[in-house]
Amino acid sequence: MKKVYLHTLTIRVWHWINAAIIILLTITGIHLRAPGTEEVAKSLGLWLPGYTAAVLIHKYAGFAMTAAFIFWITYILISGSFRKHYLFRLSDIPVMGRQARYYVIGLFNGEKNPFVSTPEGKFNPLQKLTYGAAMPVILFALIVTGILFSDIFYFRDEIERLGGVRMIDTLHVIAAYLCLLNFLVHLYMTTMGHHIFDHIKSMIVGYEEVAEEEAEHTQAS
Amino acid sequence: MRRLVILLLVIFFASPIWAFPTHEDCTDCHGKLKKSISHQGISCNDCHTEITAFPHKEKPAHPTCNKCHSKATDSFKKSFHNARGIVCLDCHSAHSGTVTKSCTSCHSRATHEKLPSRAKHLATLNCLACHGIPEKSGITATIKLPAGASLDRKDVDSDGKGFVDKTEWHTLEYLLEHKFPNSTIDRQYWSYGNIHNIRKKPVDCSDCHDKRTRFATATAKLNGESGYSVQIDPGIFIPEFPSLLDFKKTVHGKQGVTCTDCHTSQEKISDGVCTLCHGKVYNTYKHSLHGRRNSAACTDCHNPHLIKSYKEYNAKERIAVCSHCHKNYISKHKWLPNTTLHFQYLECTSCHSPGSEKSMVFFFQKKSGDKKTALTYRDFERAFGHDIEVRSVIDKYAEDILKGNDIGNILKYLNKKMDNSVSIDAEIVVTKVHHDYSVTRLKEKSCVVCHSSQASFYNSLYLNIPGKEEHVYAPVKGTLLSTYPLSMAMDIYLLGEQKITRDDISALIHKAPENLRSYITGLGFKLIDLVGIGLLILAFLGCMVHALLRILVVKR
Repeated sequence: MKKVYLHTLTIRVWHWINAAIIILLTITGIHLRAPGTEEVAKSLGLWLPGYTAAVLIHKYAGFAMTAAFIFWITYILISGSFRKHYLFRLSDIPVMGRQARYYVIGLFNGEKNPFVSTPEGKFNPLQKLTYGAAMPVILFALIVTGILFSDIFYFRDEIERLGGVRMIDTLHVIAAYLCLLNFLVHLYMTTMGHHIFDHIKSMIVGYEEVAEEEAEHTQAS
Repeated sequence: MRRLVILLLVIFFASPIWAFPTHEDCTDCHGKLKKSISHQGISCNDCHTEITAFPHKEKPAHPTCNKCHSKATDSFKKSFHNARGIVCLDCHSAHSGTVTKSCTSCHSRATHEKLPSRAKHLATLNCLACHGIPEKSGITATIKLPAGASLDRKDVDSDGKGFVDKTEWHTLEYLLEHKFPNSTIDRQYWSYGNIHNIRKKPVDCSDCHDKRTRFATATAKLNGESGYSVQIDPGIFIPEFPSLLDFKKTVHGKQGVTCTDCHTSQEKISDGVCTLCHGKVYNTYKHSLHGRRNSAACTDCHNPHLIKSYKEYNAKERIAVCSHCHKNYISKHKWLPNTTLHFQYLECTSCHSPGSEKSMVFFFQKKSGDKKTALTYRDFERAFGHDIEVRSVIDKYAEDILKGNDIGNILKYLNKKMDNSVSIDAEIVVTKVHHDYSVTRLKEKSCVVCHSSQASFYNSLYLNIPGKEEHVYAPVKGTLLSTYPLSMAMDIYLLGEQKITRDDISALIHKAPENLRSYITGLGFKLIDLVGIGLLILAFLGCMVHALLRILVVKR
């Protein structure tokens, strides 16, 4: 086995802070969308803050996520990480099919993962599409609509220009569902490493253990 | 120089002050008075000025009190007691300077038989409160909490306006009863002032129960570590009750109802008396939950002597009627987000009387400090002139329905006159009452009932216009919400996304397979949640199946 350094300390710290913010936003978001959730939680023996507190927590956690998003974009652009890891290239297109086939069929036939993370490129083409294109767009929509909601009187004109409160709400909720879907699949995909917790461990320590022949195979290809 | 000093000494020792008898000179003969004389430390000859030397006249003239007590004696001259020949010394001891007689010393047989609620009045009020002219009077309610207990200011004054109204008081009473059962509320009706000008005829009932010329303020004092005081509505302790003169202004009075139409005996008015005129309404009521359980008679909720009709009540005043019995209404509605905020804009029957017609009633309000109060007819008089008819000022072209611009222009004008302190607010109140309040335990708990364009009250908009005697509800055109001013609409219209209910899920199983299109159209914006939650469930199941297959099928 060979240890490969995949995640810098900055990215690791950002990742876990962002994860905590998203969990907080998800819980309070459900609460906001369905008033009375705290009563249901209470009947299940769980405690949730009251509705008013949930509104405030959601608002300020949203601001925190905005700050984390801006930091992340700035960091990956300046450090060159975006070009190296996130940028989807034309050469990735044929690999996409292979990668998808691996998850659906190859994995069960004992085939090797066509992509192995290296410090030169840690995301496969499907991940590049998700983290480098889809999620930034979804998060951007979520953040912009969220900021508009943070003070609907201050942003009254902008809200009207974008089609009113109902339109903003629709966009915010659709983006939130997409974000949740990504979160769910992302959680499952963390178990797809060499060992079940390898990916999670690598996001804590920075290094991931990769079979030597796998690493060589990827470098050669 | 020596001669001058001798001359001055001679003049000094020859002066009359040495001739006046001293206190001891008097008590040498009047020994009995030796112990009792203590009239503010003054000496005998301060009052008995006639006595300058011994032996004095056998019967010297009575000293007069007005030399020192002119204010009290002047006042006393106007009193009923003076007319009856009573003098100062009949009640005061001149030598000790104390009061020797109280009211009951002479009026021990004052039975007050004609006084309504006699025992209650006599137990709480002093004589001055009704028979005198109190300079200051008020009510102090002292809330005594058990040792170590404390109440947050927000529990007492929930809207933070520094004034506890009837609904807030009812909520507090419920809180004390349940949280601190050992707590007590001690009420004191205090009054003090000029006791010398006692009138034969006591005050009219309306002085306290209507005009509030006395006991016009009330204060609640909370003891304990977190002790504080807050102003409260005196109407909590002294119910409103109009005088006979004012009865003509009441709803019943205007309709020509006289006292004896209802008061056919000394018994309390029963529902049967009300049904003589209000039979149709009573018929609805008697089949409702309240009626079936005999839990409230007509007069328990309606005061037939009130000048204000029920329609004139704002949302808070209407809640006060229900919260008289349903004191726990706040805790019963804990599920409702921003509970207290909602109760500033809604009345109970907005939800609990589905048969009633609800309307959104706009009103002008002015801000003074942190306090917002609805504009009264007097405010409009100050802005537009004496004896103004407000409706014709707002509705210049005498149309049947007010438009957004009509209200906007008036708002601008009022703000010009009143330092930009005027704004428009709205509340959701019942405008056509249906007397069946049986609907309880509303499980719907759906924000969209009000917070959406489908809410019924958007079809019934009114502007509350204050009048000289009573206010008018002027119908308002619906487009007001989208034209002017935007903020007042957005306050209530915010969001309004519909949530998935059990009915929608059941329709998905039963209706959707046959007519998918109408099902989706019927869902509207709920579709977002349905698709979103569906996708999340699918993704979760997909991950689980994939994981299971990885465990069972993967070849290594």
